[in-house]
Amino acid sequence: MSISSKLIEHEKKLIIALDDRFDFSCHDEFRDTYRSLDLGQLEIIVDFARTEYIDSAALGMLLVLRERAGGDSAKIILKSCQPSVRQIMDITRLNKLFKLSD
Amino acid sequence: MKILNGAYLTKHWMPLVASVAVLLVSGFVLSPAAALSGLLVLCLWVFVTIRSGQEDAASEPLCFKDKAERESLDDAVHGLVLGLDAGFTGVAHQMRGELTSIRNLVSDAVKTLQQSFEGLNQQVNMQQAIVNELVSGMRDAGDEQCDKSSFAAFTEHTDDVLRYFIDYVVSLSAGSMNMVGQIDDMSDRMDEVNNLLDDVKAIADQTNLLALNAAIEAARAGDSGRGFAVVADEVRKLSQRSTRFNDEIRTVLAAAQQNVSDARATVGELASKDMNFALKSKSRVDEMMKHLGTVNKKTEAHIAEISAITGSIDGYVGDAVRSLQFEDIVAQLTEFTSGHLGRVESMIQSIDDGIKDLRLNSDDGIDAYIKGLEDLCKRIAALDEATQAKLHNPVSQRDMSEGEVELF
Repeated sequence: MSISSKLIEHEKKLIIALDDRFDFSCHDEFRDTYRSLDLGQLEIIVDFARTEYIDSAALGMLLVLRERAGGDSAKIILKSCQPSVRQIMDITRLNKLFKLSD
Repeated sequence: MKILNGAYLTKHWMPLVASVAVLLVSGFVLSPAAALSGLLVLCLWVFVTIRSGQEDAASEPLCFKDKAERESLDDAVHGLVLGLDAGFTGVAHQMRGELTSIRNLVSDAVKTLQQSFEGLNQQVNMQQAIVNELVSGMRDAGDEQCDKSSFAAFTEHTDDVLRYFIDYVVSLSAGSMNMVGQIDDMSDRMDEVNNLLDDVKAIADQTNLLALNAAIEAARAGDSGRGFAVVADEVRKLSQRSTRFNDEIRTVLAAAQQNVSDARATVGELASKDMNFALKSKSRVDEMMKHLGTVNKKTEAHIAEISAITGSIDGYVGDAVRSLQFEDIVAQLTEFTSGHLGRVESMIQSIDDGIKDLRLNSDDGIDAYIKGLEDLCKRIAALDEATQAKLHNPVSQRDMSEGEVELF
């Protein structure tokens, strides 16, 4: 479960790249990527390109991130979701809270 | 006695043709009473012909030999008429009986048929009503009143429950992840405490050393150092107690860390729900809705079919009920047939009266007698025509398939 992150200062972008499973075991790593940052100013891109499985904990973590980044004013993009992941986003209506891109 | 000769036939062809025509027509019309009347006229005509033939063959006027001859002729004729009357009365009685039977049979049958058709109509309408009820129970998802029995409403409700459950799981997970963060923060605090304990340990160790040094110095000082040695000893004991407390605190802290770790794991478990259940359930519900749509369409088609069938049954029943009107026609026809019987009866009566009148005629001549009979013939024919006109049968139909039935 190795999550990598990259902060592009001049573009005010934070890119978090997930591994093949995004679940509870990723909690600490995920939190560490944004814990010390001022998220209100940043555009956050969570890259799901390699992710094949997510569970409800993953959804919880995304929602916590959104809260930390300012709730409704947060700018978070979920990038490259696989079809099965996309389906879950649709069914749980998280597609209304986050922007999904390819 | 020359009976029928060619010369006479050509002279008196009209009554013959009339009788034959009446016979043919009545035969065609299948009315035995009318046929009988035709037959009667024919008999009379034959009789008249015979007598007239006799008259033509002889050139001089004939007379009855004597009164006895006249009377025997009278009796013969009268006997003929009586015989006819008796015979016909029997026939008429039977025919009237049969006509009544026909009327009654038809009436009973028609009653039964009417009841049957009414019953059939009722049953068919009841069926249609039941079908309609069945269907309306399954339709209409939005209708409040149908909510309990509506299958579509149930499916929608299931969808709502599913949605609620999904939302609950997600929000539970979000809350749980928050909690995990807080637990981690708490864990960090405990680590800080652990670090502080290190400092405390260091102080305790230092204190211990210092106490040791103090004891050594006290020993060097000898007697004057004895009090100091005691103090140093006490300090040493204190530092040791401090160390022991330190260790205990560390142990408790470690246990607390373990508790926290367990709590974290429990929360993690709570929050980690596989989302496939949601996907499967949702797709099942969607499938059910689609299936419902198909079933609904099929049901609509079936209802239309059933309604069409009900409509055509109504049509058939209507046709049948209409054709029961034949009872009226039968009644009319039997009336008229009875009327024809009456005609014959009155004709026989006229003949009887006419013959009686002839008897009273004292004229000797056979010519006069024959003329009297000829006049009687004409009178009867005229009377019958008058009677027939009154009995005019407006029922022109002979069978039910001829088209519209006239209602009268």
